[in-house]
Amino acid sequence: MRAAFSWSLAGLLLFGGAALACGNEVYLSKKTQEAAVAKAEAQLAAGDAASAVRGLMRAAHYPPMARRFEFAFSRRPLRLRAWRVAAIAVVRTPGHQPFDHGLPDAAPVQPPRQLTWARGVLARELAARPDDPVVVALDAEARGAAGTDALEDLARRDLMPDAWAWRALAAGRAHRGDAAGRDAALTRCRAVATPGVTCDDAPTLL
Amino acid sequence: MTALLLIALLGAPPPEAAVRFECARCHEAPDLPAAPPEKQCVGCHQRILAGSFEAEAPLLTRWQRRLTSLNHAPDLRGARRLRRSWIAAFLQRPFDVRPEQPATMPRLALTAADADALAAWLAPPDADGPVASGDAARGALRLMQLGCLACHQFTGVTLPDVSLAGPIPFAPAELVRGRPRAPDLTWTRDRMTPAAAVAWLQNPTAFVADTPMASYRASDEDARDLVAFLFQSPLLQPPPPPVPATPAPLDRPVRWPEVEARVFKHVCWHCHSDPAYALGDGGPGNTGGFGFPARRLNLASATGLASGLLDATTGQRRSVFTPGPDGKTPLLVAALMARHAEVAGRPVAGVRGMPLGLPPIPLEDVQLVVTWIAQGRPR
Repeated sequence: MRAAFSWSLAGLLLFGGAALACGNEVYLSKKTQEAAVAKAEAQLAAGDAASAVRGLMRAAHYPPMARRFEFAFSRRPLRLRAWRVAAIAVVRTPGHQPFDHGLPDAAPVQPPRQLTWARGVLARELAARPDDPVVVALDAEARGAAGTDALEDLARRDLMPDAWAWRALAAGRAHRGDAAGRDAALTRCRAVATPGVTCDDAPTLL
Repeated sequence: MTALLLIALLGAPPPEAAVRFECARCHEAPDLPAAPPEKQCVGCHQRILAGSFEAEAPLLTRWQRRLTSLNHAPDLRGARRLRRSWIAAFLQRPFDVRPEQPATMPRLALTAADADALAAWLAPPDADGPVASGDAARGALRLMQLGCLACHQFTGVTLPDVSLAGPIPFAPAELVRGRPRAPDLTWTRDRMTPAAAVAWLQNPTAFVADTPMASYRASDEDARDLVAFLFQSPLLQPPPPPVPATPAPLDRPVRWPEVEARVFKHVCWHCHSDPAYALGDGGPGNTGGFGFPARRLNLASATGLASGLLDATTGQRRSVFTPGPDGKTPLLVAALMARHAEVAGRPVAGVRGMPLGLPPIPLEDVQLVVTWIAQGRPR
């Protein structure tokens, strides 16, 4: 117990005070928790949610020490990014259950609860940044059919942040029976897709 | 009365505008606290060049090789040799005073009152001093002999035969340090009174402690004659440089990684970064700074760019790909081209040229952006 506490304290001291940044690369260059989160973000963007989750859990030593993201990612902006990655991973994982050992804040492990947790994380972020298209699109993607109107609004204003948002909009339009709209969204999805984003067909919404 | 005397002796305190416009991000200034390290532009670059910036050695080496802008900014304590009216006008419409310095004073959102307040803080009231009374012909000769033109340009002036110039009396390191700091002498008559110019030449370190002209002390005769030449020689106005047209799209495919490397990650993200990566500060162009409110424009990623910015008028998110003031050019491209127009002396109403206070993005790189947008912004 004492050893675990000591390691936790050491982790806080090591990772709590990061380099001052005049360029973003400074954080990316550090072989610390920042690098772990950045890598998880890249994996998630490439469609590899499972690796993103595994990487975050390794960085957080979670499990077996059961340290949660609050301890591992002690700097708040970094913690929010880690949470966001975890939440999106839940949304984009078939079955919505990438965390086999409990969520970063120790919520129950069942898929419906994981999706509820992910939606809660993204909704809190949306409340903090309601005008950020990235956050709006992620929240909309997490909400499934209920988020389609928000994505339509972004598309109308030419503010769709990435291919994932177009894919989610295609799913929403398909859910409404708008086949032409779905195909148009998938065309835009393909145009801006990065490797790992599947734009061949829209996922089915519940 | 005592307070006025103290202010006269010690200098006026910084006005609110000096804090609001964050002069300390780039400049040292009288009684203005230094900016925090993470907000310093010049200080950050200087630490990188000195190798003391906290980053891994390979990164530092790479940055040091390509760092050319904002390695130095004038110490504002030296501004007291300048005309107050010139400072106020310059702040509102900055231009390239130092030809060898890539960066210029940025075009900030200053009102006339802001500019007047800053000028009043930095320089004494304008005074009509005596006109330059030296021997201009001898001044021209001394300008050549003293090697002034090793660092300075004097645009628009017909100079004496260059064979009159002796060997350059400066070490290479002095030239490396001096050239970027050297103003084009064509502006001297606008910037200073003859008396101030004479005083400067006689004892530069009385104004700027670390001036590259520290080793120079003009005699009374030299100072008067040099100033006579600087102020009296006829100036030929060069024709205004043309404002280039927006380039047409290329025929070849252009994808995000190319425009990111050539444009956005090369320059733009310094001021438009992702706050999640930089202690919550996304830079002046994102979370705000230099007197600008937060515009939330993140150019550190394609996703950030696609997320647009806060419109200054409506306060709503707006795509940077929607047409700018001309109704057809995407706002992003309009801002890049507006910088070309600013450098040509013709600022564009309603569009601030970007990158702010830096050389324009080369046209071939603007063309990449134009092409990428025209091709549907492929990642």
